[in-house]
Amino acid sequence: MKKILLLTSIVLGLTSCNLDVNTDPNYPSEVSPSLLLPSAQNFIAATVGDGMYNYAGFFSQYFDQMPEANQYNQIAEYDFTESDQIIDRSYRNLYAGALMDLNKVLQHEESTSGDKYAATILRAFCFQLLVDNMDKTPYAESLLGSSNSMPVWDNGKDVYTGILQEMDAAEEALGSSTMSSNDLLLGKNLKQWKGFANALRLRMYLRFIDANEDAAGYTAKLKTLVDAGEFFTGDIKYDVFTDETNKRNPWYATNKVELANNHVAGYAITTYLTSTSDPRISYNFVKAANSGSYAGELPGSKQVLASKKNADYSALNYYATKPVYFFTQSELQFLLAESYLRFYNDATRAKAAYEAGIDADFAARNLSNASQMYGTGGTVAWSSVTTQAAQLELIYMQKWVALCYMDHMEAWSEIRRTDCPKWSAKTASEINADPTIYTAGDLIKPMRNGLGTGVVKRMFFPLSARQLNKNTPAAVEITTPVWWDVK
Amino acid sequence: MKRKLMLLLTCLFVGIGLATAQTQRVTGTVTAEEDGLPVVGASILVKGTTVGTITDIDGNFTLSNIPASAKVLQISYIGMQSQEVAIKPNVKIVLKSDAQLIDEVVVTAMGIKRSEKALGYSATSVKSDEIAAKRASDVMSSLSGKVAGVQISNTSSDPGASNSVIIRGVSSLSGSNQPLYVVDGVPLNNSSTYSSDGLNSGYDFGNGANAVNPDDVENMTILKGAAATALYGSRAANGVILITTKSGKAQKKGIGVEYNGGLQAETILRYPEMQNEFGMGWNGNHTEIENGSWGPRFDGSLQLWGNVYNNSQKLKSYVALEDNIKDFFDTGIRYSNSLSFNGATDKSDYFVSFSQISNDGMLPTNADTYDKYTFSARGSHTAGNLKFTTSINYASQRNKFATTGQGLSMINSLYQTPRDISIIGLEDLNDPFNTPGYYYTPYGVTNPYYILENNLNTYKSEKIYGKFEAEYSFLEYFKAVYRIGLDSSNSSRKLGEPNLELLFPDTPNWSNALFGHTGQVNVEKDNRREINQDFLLSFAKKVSDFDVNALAGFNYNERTYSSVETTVTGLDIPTWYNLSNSANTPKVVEDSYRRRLMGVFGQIDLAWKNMLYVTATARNDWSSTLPKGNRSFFYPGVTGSFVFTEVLPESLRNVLTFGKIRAAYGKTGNDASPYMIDPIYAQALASGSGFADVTFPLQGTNAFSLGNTLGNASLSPEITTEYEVGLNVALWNGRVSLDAAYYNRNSDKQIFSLNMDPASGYTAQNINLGKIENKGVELLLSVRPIETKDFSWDLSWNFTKNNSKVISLPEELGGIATIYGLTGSTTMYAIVGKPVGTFKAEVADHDPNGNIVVNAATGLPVAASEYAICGDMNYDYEMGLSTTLKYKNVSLGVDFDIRQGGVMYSRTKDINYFTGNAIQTAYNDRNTFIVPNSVNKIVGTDGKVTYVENTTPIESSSVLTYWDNGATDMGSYSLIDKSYIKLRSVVLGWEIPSKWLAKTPLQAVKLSAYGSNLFVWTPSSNTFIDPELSSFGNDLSGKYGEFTANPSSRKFGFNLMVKF
Repeated sequence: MKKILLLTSIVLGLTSCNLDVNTDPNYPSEVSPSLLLPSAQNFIAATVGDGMYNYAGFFSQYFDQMPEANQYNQIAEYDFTESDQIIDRSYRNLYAGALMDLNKVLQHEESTSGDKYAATILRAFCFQLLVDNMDKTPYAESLLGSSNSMPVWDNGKDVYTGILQEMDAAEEALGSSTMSSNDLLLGKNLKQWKGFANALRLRMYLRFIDANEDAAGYTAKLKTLVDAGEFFTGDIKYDVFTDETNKRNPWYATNKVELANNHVAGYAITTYLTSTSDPRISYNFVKAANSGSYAGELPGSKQVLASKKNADYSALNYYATKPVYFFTQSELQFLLAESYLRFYNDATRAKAAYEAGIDADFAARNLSNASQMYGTGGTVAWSSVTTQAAQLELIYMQKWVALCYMDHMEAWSEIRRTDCPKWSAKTASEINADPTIYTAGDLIKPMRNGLGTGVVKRMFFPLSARQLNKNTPAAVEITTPVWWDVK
Repeated sequence: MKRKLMLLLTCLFVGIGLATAQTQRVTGTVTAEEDGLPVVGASILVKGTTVGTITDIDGNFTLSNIPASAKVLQISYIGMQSQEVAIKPNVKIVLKSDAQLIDEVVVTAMGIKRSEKALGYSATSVKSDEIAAKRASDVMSSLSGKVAGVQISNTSSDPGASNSVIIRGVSSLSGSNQPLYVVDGVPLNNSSTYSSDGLNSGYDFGNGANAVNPDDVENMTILKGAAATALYGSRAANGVILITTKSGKAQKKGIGVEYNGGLQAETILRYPEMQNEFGMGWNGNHTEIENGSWGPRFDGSLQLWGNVYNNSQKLKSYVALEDNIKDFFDTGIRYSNSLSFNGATDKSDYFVSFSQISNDGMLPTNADTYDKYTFSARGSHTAGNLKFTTSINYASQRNKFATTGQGLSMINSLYQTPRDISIIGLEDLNDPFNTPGYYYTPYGVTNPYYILENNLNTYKSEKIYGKFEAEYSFLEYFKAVYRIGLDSSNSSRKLGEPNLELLFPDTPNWSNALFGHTGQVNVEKDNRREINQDFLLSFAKKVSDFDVNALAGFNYNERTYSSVETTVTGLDIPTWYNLSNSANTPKVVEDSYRRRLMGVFGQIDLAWKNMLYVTATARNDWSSTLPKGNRSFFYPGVTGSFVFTEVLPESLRNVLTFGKIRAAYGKTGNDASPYMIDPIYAQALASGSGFADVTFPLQGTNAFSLGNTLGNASLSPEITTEYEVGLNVALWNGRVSLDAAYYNRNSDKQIFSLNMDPASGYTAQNINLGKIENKGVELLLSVRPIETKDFSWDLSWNFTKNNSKVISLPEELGGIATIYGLTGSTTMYAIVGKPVGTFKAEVADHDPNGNIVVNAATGLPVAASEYAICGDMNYDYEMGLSTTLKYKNVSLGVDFDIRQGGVMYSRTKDINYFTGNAIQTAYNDRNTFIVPNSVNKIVGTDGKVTYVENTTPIESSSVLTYWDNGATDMGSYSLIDKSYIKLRSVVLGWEIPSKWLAKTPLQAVKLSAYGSNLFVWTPSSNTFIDPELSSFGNDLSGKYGEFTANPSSRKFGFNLMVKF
């Protein structure tokens, strides 16, 4: 038949009868790993820097819904369901975006061990985020395309174990390899990558220990890690943005540019920063137009306190080129401080790390003179407290302060792990009626609370998974803690 | 042309009697009542004999050998009522058109003309005067509601917008469901130009078939079923619109020039009904800067409003301005001219036409315009056995469209205006209060006049299509045809938005509403080309009582597309729209495709004694878009018909003039879109929230990301199998006629990008996923209750009921596939066992007794944990009612288009609830109330659920939340019933009696006045929009609904037709 076709075509003087014209000219069918790794980094930045950054910022009470706008009412009032798809886009960005590109790097024959090491660390980071949000997540059967379009969901603890093992294995295979891939996060510096990996290990070990899962074993591992001291310097940040369409910090672009503002300062953080005379307040917020002073909005109050206006509250201090933080130096120092205190009983080193944490955060915000906070007479000086419990609280509170505007997802996770800041015994309405009964820094349950008196301890599973994967576990209430949140 | 062809056919059938000794002689002429023109090829038979003749090219005949005993002549012609006249030496016969066209000649696949009674399938033929009468800008919209089984919708009233034509239901979930347009044997590119993102900056610049000048069309045939369309191959799976254009005719009188000129006005038809009790404010309180009407009750007091400029502020009376929306709209004007001339000799003919349409729609300013020019030249020449035909058509269009959707669109700003704000008071843009900087509200909208004046959204397109054809007749019964057709179009689209951030610094709205609106220029240029070649060999022979027609052919088709789209933002000169006007990196997207298709086909027709007809067809295609192993696909068809009246006794045939039963079975295949096979990588971008992308290159680094859709190397073609049975009956010589059809169409192995759990690494995979069934009935009943010499009354009723059903989808997917939806909102699906396009949306939770569950604390309804099915996109039935009254030279036609059932998404409703403008939101005077029949849900410590009667009222401050959440419908409130009855058209025509023109060079003059879409009636629940609107294109996703589309219009106008 084909011959007849060909013959007929020739007879008719056709230009071409070749049917092999189905290769897409618009997209390459193969690319080198060096073009893939930055894509994965960009997807992760969109997640920790926009999708999760936003809702976790509400849960960490850094900001609340602006009274005269409505975009995030449901999040502010803890009144959302699986159908609201709050996490769906992050879930998609991590799996179909970052993790898939990372898998391609891992499978690519041109990838060096260094490329694969960096890819493995980012992969671990992605899964850590997924577990911290939903407890369970597809892991062992994930990313297999049509050969397993409905992966089984794994327990969060097993995922943590798995990614720690993956990092160990990649580190063993690393040797003296270098990176060939473009790297917008750490400039192909494998020492920094190793420092990032160790910081992730430290973070995860603490969660195993607090969950009492092989606490002794993970304490030993933690000590080995801390003793070796091979952590990153500076911040792990994705610092690539310019003030142009499609090149801006994604949360800024979404909320300042596209949605024309939806946030105002949170009550807890504003009150706390004011009470501690913290200069970082001016980095985060601007003074309320009506009062000329810093004023935060009580959580979930916008639809109850209907007479309130935007001008009654502090607006946010945005900027377009703000980096997205994957791991701040300050958090690392606070984790070390906690470790020294709890596992080494070494208050001296803890104090140094604590102060280094505040220093690092001031530096990240281009502020100087951090010692005004922790030095003599400082409001959060180490010497202001004496018991270990109080010292730990100081560390945790400063971590909460330092993660504000930097890494909201981690702030929310650490609030859940450490239970600090603690939840105020007073209701938002009581505080509204008499602000003096409130202890600055305490978290406040929303005035209109879709969970009654509950708070958000996890996210729902994505609706997209619910609809498309019959192995998605039954829905779990968002008041149920994740596996490592046992306190 | 048609009548001349009949001359040839009739020659075959009319026996010429032998002369006998005793004869008489008759001469005469036959003319048509309709146009007074001679009827060429009418059959003249001496009753009771085989003596007869046919009329010549002037309609004259001479019969010289009539037996002396003969008394009566029978005169007949296809498509006209037969007559008998007494024999006398000179007769003049005026034949009346047969109202029911029971023996119409129909153009079928590959341009083969067939008597309608031979057809074994449903084919609807539409003549030029029906298309031209309503003076639509395009060929299809005049047929809305006129053709059973064909759903024609105007997706927008904006000038030049597209039509949606869906024949016998949606059968493809992902491919096109629009029919194939074939003009004079050559496929026409019918791609539509609309915004792929219907949510922001929506536009619709029409579809390719709009390029055809309605005045050029001689007739159209709509082929519906698979058996009818199979010869056209895979692209005809959704039916075929065959357009035959006018060709040159020998002019008996006059010079062959026809002119049409018209003027048309349009005014707003349907916009939301709004409450007039509450004005500017929010949560029951007055505010000076709100974009909604949630303030206190109107009290006539004087109020300050809007921003402060130069220490002054505006003052208004707090009263409702009932017509503030309506007053915003102007009267749109369209004027049109078309001119054609034609002629023919016995060897050649030509037809040349020119047309122009200039339309400024009903929005103020010229932000909505449509200008179209068409030029056509056609001709043929016969030299011996060879005939050459050529045609070349040019169409140029230029549109402007006021963009729709959310954000700073005109319509979104209009609907977010409090009831007490005078919109026309915003027109003076020199008034600082009316500029975006000081506009009264900062909440995501601005002055609609400013948008119309300053935003740019234009489209220009040039299209050239035509053909060259050579026909060679040989060996008496054979004919060979070679035809090459070309359709090439170039278009460019440009969108410009001003840099508001730069224009209005230090204004009150700068930091919220205008910040980030740094302007943009978006330019897309594209080029489409389609080359189609056919080689046909046909054979026709009559063997005793059999007619045999056979056809074999080869078809080659290539389609290419390429486009470049460039966007810059951050305009340095705020309202100058040029790509050079920015220091930012432009975003450039290149897209192109090429696809080829080859096919061989054949057809055999057998006819026996004008009574039994059988046709068999087959085609095999090879498509470039399918994987190598699955490229070839074959599909056969067979049809039959039996004219049972041929065997009835004469006495019965006086009542039952004509009757036919028919049956058809056929398949068509449909290939994939290009490039669905292989994995791809795309330039990387990510969006964390869905509002803003971060796109590479970043910091001088580029990146690519694995595509989210998994290719499939084992795709196979979609196959549609259809059978239909039908009945045609004509009673009392066509005074009553019925055409009925039942069809059952199964489309199997749908090619679809099916969503996947992203944890699989992909968000979708291309697969052959399931089966869709459409079955239904089509009825057309025509009655002529009154017919006298001067007066006639025709009535016609058509009815379509199509039942769509998804038969299967892969089991592991839970039997559901998304068609279109908004994130976290109402979504349209294919669900097994349900009609295609079933909506699921958020609904309120109910107790087992059907009471609404409300929150005990707030009194507000609580959403059920699962989305529920809330209807589907399909009409339960569609009906058309037409009536035509004719008195002498005056005719009046009235058409109603009735569609019942189905739902669609309406953001217009959504936004009118949000702003408190919708009339529903004045419920209970906005006082606190308890949701009727509401209960509270109590979950005991043991997990046991009980319900108690609710006693919590909704606070008056939460009334807003109640409506914004969709009242008791929750999220599903934005689905509206899309039933309607439309007075689709009224046409009043008056043809100047020819005797008045006798002494002028004019051959005919016709004046007409017409109106279209004059009224629309909708169910009482739809107080919002014209349910024909769509913002998501003219195909399946368009059936999702509208996203603040511009309102619809009614049109009325005058037309003058003059023939020289």
